Amino acid sequence: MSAAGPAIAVENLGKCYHMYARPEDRLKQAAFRWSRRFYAEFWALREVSFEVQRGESFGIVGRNGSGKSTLLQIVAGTTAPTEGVVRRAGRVAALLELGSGFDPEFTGRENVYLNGAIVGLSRRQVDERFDAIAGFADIGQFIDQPVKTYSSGMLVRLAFAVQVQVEPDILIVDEALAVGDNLFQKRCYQRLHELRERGVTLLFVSHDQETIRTLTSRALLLHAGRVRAIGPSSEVLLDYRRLLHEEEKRWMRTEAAAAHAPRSVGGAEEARGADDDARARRSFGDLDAEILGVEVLDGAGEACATFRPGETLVIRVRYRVNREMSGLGVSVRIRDKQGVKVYSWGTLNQDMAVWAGRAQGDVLWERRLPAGHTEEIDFVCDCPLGANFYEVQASVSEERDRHYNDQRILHWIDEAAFFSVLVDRYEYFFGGVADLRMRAHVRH
Amino acid sequence: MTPPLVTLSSSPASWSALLNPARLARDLWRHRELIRQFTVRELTARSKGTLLGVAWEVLKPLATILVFTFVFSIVLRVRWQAAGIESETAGFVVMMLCAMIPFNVFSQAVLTAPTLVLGRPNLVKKVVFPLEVLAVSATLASLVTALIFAALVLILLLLTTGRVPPTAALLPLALAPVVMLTLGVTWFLASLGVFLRDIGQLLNVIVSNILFFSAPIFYPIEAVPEHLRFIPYLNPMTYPVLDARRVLVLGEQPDWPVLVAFTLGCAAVMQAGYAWFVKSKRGLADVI
Repeated sequence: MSAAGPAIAVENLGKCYHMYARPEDRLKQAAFRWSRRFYAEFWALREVSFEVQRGESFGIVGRNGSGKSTLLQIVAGTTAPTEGVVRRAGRVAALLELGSGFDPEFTGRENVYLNGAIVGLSRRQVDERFDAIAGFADIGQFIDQPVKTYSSGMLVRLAFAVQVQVEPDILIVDEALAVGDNLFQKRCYQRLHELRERGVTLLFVSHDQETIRTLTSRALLLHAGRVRAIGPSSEVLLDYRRLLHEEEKRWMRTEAAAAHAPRSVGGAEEARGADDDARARRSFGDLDAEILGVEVLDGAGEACATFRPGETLVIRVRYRVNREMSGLGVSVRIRDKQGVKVYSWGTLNQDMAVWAGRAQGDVLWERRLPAGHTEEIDFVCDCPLGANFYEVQASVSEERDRHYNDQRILHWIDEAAFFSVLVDRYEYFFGGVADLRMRAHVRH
Repeated sequence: MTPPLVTLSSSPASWSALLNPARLARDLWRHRELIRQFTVRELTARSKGTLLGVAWEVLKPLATILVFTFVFSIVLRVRWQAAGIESETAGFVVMMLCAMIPFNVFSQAVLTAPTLVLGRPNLVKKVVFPLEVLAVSATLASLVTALIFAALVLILLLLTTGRVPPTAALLPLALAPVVMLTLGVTWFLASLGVFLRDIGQLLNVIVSNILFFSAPIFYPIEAVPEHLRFIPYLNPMTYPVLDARRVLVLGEQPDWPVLVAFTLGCAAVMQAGYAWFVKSKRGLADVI
């Protein structure tokens, strides 16, 4: 393979577990190799192929039992594949389960040397790195105490500190980082970002969609051991969420014997062909009510994609109810480029303020809307956001409770619209994610 | 510099590649740091957290020696009666103890072999770890323990007979094949023990009873009736036991032709055990 080849190439990978009732059946199988079968087959992975380029960050998502960990173990080399091939170029460090190589009776210091040896460092190399490791783990005097006295957070910190010192070409990370406090997690992600910038190839598994979104550029969705989707992380995550929603719905349907049978999207008012498909890929819901369109407008009602702090920002949501109903809520959610939810707000929030006597106006929740009714709602603010690229999500839901305690999503759209906020460095400037509209008062 | 390219596939390494001694040597050399650390760990783990610590490694064999000396030379007053050798009672204890040196090298490691891999699921499933290191460290730890025992036996020898024969320097040559045999058998059992968990029970009977008593440890080989003398010679422990006695107590040369043949045989067992282990370790993660 040339130096420009992929860091990881997986071809037609499959892992079949032979489920033996008893361990010795495995030996019998070896003896009667062809004549008899002592096992039941279970394919944990089948026909999985993908490539990860050098320096790329690649995510793997999927539900529990979808084969994520098996795939990671095969790529890391702890488990042998049944069929197919994995090609890796470069030194691999795997954070499959942090701290699992530690011996509880030995001190942190002794375990650092042991783990260093496991990942292929000589004693001298560990000597050189020891201060950096201890500094990163930041567990103070505990470094000379037996590991069994550590909290799980301390254990993970020490293990992570050792692993990232290996300076790998390929780093394989299972969702081990979920342990540890926020400060440590932040440090881990910082470290992962650093490694990524240095050209380290990252293979990352997580349930946490935000982590996948921020840390990886491409991703793979595994379902029942097979590749369900592969592509840019944000698209794959949408597929993942749709999958979760479908399964939830299926479960609800069997559970509640279809009290509210979901309706089909019959009679869409405008035929939009391919555009419709693209939209369908980014949305889910029971469709008793439906979002038809979301636009971002400026104060004059013109479509606008860039704003400066303080300018009027309008998010216009057009929706239709497909059967007569009341108790509706229409909401928007704003997310920044890093996937952080910046703000979410909806008509029910306003209704609640009205009920509390803190605002005046119509209460959408109390209105009964006939089937086929279509209307628009403008969500208006004086843009208080910092410089970033923002994604708007919109949803319409049935709120059976006046305070968001019992919600059924009727339609939800990711990436319904986008806008950017630019901050002019010379006229009106602030740092950070939000404009707190501070003033400085001089007191003499 | 191009990074190393690794291909992981369903087809394992071939037997012919694994049976090459150069590959075994390369593997051991590459993992020398891990082997060192795991050997130290094996030795210190038992006494970890105890008050006396590593001193136990000397106290335990010392206790064994004192008890044996008390029982056999003071209570029972057993004599070593073999052709041409007539000894006072203390001689029996020394004859027996020095025969236990090679046996201890073998038994300590081999008895732990079935749980060597089975007891460390983390190293099998969670970390990329060269599992063959475990057997090497177990064997080396066993060797170190046996050498401590040997040192104490030599002191006893010096105290009772007033001299240690110069041929005692040949003890390493007598022990070398035992180390290879132990390593090979430990490799074999370490992976077999994962698939067949009864091995551990069976092994105790075989090693502690059959192998121990069918080797001439408690008795001179001449004490076995001539028509049954083939039995101890079926036991591989017999050869190092006889040589240890020759070089340590009797001041004789080892039985060179036998030693050379035995060493070659043990080297073959070691290589076969290695090949078996590496070949079968791919399946370990699926069973543990």
